[in-house]
Amino acid sequence: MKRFTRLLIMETENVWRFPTLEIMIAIGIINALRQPNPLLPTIEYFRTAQYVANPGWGTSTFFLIFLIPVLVARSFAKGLSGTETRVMLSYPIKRWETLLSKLLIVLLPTLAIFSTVFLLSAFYLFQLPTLNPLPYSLLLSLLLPMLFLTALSFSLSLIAKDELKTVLFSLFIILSLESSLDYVGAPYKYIFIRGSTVISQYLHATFNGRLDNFFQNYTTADVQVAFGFPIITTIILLMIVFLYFQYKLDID
Amino acid sequence: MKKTNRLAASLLTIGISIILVSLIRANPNKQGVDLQLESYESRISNEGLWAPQKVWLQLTTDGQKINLYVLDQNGITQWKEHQTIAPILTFENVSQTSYKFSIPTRNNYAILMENPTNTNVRVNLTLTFYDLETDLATVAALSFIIGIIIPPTYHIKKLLEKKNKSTKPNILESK
Repeated sequence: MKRFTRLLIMETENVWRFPTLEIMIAIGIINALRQPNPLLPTIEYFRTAQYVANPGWGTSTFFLIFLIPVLVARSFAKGLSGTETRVMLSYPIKRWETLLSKLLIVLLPTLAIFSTVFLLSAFYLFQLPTLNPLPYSLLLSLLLPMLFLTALSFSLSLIAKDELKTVLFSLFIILSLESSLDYVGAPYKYIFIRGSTVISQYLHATFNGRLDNFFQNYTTADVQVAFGFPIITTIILLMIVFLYFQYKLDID
Repeated sequence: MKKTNRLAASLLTIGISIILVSLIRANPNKQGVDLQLESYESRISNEGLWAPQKVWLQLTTDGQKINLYVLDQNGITQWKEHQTIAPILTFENVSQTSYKFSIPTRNNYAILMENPTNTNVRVNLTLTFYDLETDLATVAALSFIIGIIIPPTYHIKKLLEKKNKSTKPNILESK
């Protein structure tokens, strides 16, 4: 445990160097508080407004989409292309520990920054009671696409084994996936960012007892795809990454 | 990068980001109602969470005079439960008015319109919310000031410690 904690600290210092953390904080604050309407007619409006329903995926989506692959590339792909991973594995550190530390160091701080800003805005700016489960559950619409994005970037790091290539591959796949989904019908168009909107609207409807209204616009299949695709894809991709990194990858 | 400098950089980032967000949110935002008040009718409108910023209230009627009140959360509760008026701002017997005021704190507010006459009256009310939200600006200023103060304070403290060490007589040498 002590060894793993040290590994986490080392990875944190390596990945979250100046100015990565500061950029992420800025994106988090601007994303969560930016909405142009300073007057919020009612708390009911908060519950139905699209921009609040999507805590992490607003106008700053592009920056987040750009930053997660960059963080993964800095943490994982850079180590594979250089000597870092080789040197690290020459110490008594297990491969799965290295992989897990890199995964946690990308995911947890990003999620912590975005969740903190979003929850602060929900409780202070929107005056929601702290015991209201809605803002906490809305974090799912941030977590699921973020998990998918991280798993995809890790997989591409293993293929590319290079920092720049990983960033470029990830951006190419994510942006082309999002734009090609414009031409796909429901429910498959809800597999990524559009899916997070479905998730948040579903949660709003569930907590406000308005599922009837929700199902006038969406079907059960839409909800299943929105929840299921990021979870299943993330599990499959991370399993492949783990098995390949643990048993197959040759590090000279 | 030293931990104190890093902390200062993060606080400055928070301050700058909140200032940027405040500027975006300071765009004038208009909320209007156009309605008819029946004789002796009172009606609440524009109820909601208002940010602490400036409001420009513009009221016109079809010539008849009405009473208009700005209520805070307490006033809204008083009105809804006991039908008593406890306003933070009052405009009585007005047919046309334009008034600018500041919202004190982030809370629920509403406008109560009252028709004291026995004839129907057409009311047009526009509320323009503008300027920085003062509470956000305060948080931004605080983060900014603390972020600027931390590094010099830390360095002055270090310098003083160094000076104190160097001015202490070396007992071993004096012996």
